[in-house]
Amino acid sequence: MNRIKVLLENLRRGVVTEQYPFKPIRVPERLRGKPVIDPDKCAGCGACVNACPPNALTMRDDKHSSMRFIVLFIGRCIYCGKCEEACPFGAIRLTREFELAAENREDLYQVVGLRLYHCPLCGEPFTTVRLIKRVVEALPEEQRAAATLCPRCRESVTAHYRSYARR
Amino acid sequence: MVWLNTLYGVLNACFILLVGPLIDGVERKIRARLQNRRGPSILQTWYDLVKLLRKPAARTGVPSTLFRLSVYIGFVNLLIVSLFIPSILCGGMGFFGDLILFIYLLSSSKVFVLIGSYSSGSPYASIGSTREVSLSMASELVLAEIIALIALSRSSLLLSNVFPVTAVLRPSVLIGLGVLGIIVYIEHSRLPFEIGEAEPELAGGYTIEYAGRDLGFILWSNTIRRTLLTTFLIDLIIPLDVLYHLVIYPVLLFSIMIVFTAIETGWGRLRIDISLKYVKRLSYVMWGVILLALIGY
Amino acid sequence: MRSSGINQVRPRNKYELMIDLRRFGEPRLRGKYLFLSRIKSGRLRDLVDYLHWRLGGYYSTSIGVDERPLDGYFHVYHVFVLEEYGVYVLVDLIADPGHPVVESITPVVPAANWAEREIMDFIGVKFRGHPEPHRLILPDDWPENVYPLRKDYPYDDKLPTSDKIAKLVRESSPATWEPEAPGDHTVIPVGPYHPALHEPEYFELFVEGEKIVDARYKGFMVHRGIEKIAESRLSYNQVSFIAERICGICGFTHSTAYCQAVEEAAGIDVPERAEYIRSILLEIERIHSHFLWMGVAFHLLGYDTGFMIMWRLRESIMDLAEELTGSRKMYGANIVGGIRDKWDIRDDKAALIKRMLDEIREEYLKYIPKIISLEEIKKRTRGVGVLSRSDARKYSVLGPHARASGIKTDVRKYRPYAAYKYVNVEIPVLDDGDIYARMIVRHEEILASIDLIHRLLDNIPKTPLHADTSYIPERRHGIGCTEAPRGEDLHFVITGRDNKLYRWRPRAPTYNNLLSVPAMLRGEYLADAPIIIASIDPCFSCTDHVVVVDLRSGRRRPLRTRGVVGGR
Repeated sequence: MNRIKVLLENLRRGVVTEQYPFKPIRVPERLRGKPVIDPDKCAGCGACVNACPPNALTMRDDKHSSMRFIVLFIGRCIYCGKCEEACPFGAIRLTREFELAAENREDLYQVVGLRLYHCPLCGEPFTTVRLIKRVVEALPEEQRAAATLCPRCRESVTAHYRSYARR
Repeated sequence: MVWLNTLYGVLNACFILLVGPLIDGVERKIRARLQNRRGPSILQTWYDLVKLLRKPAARTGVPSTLFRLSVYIGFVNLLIVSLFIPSILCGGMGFFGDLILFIYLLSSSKVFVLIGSYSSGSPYASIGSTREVSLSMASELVLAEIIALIALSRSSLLLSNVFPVTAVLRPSVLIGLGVLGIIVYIEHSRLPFEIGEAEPELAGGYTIEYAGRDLGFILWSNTIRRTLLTTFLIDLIIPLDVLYHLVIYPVLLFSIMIVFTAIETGWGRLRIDISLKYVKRLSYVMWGVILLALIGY
Repeated sequence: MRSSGINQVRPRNKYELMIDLRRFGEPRLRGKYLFLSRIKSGRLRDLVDYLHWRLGGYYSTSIGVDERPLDGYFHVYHVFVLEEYGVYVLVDLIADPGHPVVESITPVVPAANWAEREIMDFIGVKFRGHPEPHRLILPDDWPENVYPLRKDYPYDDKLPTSDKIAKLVRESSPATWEPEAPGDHTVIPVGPYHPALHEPEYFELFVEGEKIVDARYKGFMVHRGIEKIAESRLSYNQVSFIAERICGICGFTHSTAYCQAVEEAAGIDVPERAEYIRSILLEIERIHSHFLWMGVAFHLLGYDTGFMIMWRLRESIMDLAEELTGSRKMYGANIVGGIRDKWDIRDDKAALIKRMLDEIREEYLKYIPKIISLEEIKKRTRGVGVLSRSDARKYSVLGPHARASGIKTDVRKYRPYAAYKYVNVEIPVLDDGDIYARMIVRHEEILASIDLIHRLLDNIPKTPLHADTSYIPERRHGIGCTEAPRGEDLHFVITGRDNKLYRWRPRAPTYNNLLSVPAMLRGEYLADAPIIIASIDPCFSCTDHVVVVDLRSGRRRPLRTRGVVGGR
């Protein structure tokens, strides 16, 4: 009788379900779980914000307090890992954490605040202090001065260099 | 002695009321293990019942009196049966009840719920109860044949006289008991004959319009009905003896239920037309058995 | 075979086909796309009849595009697949913006019913001679003359508040349409929420006792507006993630179809290794989907033990997917031009896949022959829910559903994509057309897929994982087709500027398969309705997928008045 054989085969295999909420469960090495921003590494460049398909990552400049906020809202996250791929500083990573239920909506946010950098010529904020530092460090000596200017001022200042270059 | 019999009856009824849902809990555990699952606690059916019984019964529209009362009439019917059927204690209300009353109360308890459900007007409820009624009509015919056989064998319709039927060991009685086992299984509405509720097809069928306390009583009644039917089968087999009933009866009760569960786990659901065919075949078998009894075997 | 009119000879290849089609309009061949524009007046239905019924092609879908910003017209593309010639024939109809009406092809090809109505809803092009020119997708209280997929409709537009909607509706007074019930029968509603359907859909069954007399389907209750979002806000590489989320079961096949469509349009060559990895993941997804279907089928037949066994096996497949991609279902591997770096399948992973698949196959084969030989399973599936071969052609059904009705079709075999170009794909075809045949087709496919993954893993080449995609030209048409677990999955794109799509339309196989369900239900037992509906492995979320709809309706009215596919 086939129907009995099926049940016997089942009995041979024994219980397979887990006692999950009462006992922890194994997750694989590369599980794509909750993304976390390392506030020490983040420079506020916004690469992750551009890459994020569902707008879980957003960026807001607050001129009043002179701060840039990178806001991560887990409620919208689809765990695709595009942000991790895009981040030039390895500041945002997907962890293996997957138990993300929260009692308050606020618990689903992570906000990183970074000081805005103002252009020394026009005084307009255009990037963060940390990012400009890293850019300057990475550049050769002679290009550093231009890099500290906002794009518009840089254009007017470096216009004559470029006119040379064209020739 | 009347008061002692009354006490026995009350104790028996309490036993049936308590043990019905417990058996269901055990069955759920067994079924889970046969499907590689851990399964819920064996008290789970009781937890469900307690929760349901504490909830108000939400009824849609303007429910008819029939709809509201039928569940409770059915429950009381079963309660009466459990008073006079010997279960854990060998005794009862002096066995004034006879076989016909037993069958009448048991089946009417179901019919009341089905009529009440039908009166709700929900298409699922009406299809579910129609299916259930046609199946139990068919199986009740077989049951009547079995009663006739028992009455023939023991020349009486009094419960106190027919228990246990095994006192006369004839081939016809043995076959009759076998058929009764199958009928009890069908009346339990177990797969493949669980077609009145049919969750994936009818979303609960005849129970669909009931909620809260009403639903709780339906579920409780179902476990009680199952226990009573099995009790009846056991009563026909084991001697009317205090010790037998105190020790052998519960063991048999649980083992029959577990065997039934195991069988059920191996089956899918049959369609109403196919399942009626099966029951019809059983009724033909029973006519043969009655003939056998008439000529003295 | 005879063709209509003067031309008696059947064209032998796509070039002859192109010349042949000159009598209907102006053909233009670009790779595997045969555009046919400027259809001669009054010849459209002859053309469609010729393509669908005589040349052995089949109608796949129709797409409406608002191309007014580009050339001043609305366009309607009817896509026909001619596997024998290896081409897609795109019948390109243009509609004048002032009076957007084109001729309907539904009277010739009933499969076009929904696609044409969808275009009426979203683009506002009317179809002359359509048998049921009623709303399909937009809700009842959506105002007339507002067409959400037109380019002048902003993607972030919020529907007006309920008062305003009521006013708009009152002013425009759209004609409500209630289909006639066939005679005086009991109506059994199945849905919008029903244990047999795992998504919100609505079937109306007309029954006599336990026999089904007729059936109707009303759907499209879960639109999310992703087409509009993709066309308005997302970049090429972001769309592949939203495409994956069209469906929770066949997501990867959607994202692959989307990426292929863009790659086709832009002429990007995907590196071989990426093609192999795509195919491997697609097959894993197929196995997963078929296990899931088997489980659901057994559950609907009341055999819960079988359901538990199949879903246990499915759990192992999902564990495998999780090891490979980091997620049980949303693999997230696809980008336009290939596969993301982290999703590479290295040798250690390959060994793991092989080991796990062998275990799964062994366990599966221990159970399945016993289960499908059970009496009640056989009795309730054999000869039940039969779809004849001609009906299957009429509704253009796809995938296992078509293969169980004797139609030899499989995108993997006849229009190979990804790594299916390099390996032989075996496709099971049965002629019975009943639920049992559909079960057996899927059963064979599980085994074939496991086999296929083994062969793919043995031959996986060492190449880069993605191609350069920095340049994607504008205004190119592309079609990406994959064989989803449920049938041909078609994504149509027109590329745009600013790293964005101009038009994207996904068409899931259930869109075509669902049309055949009422035909299968007629004359069956009510008890069998759930398994018949489920036997096409319907995926309602795939089918719905579109348009920004906010159901904050001002009025309480059941969603019943429109959006109905008729009985006969």
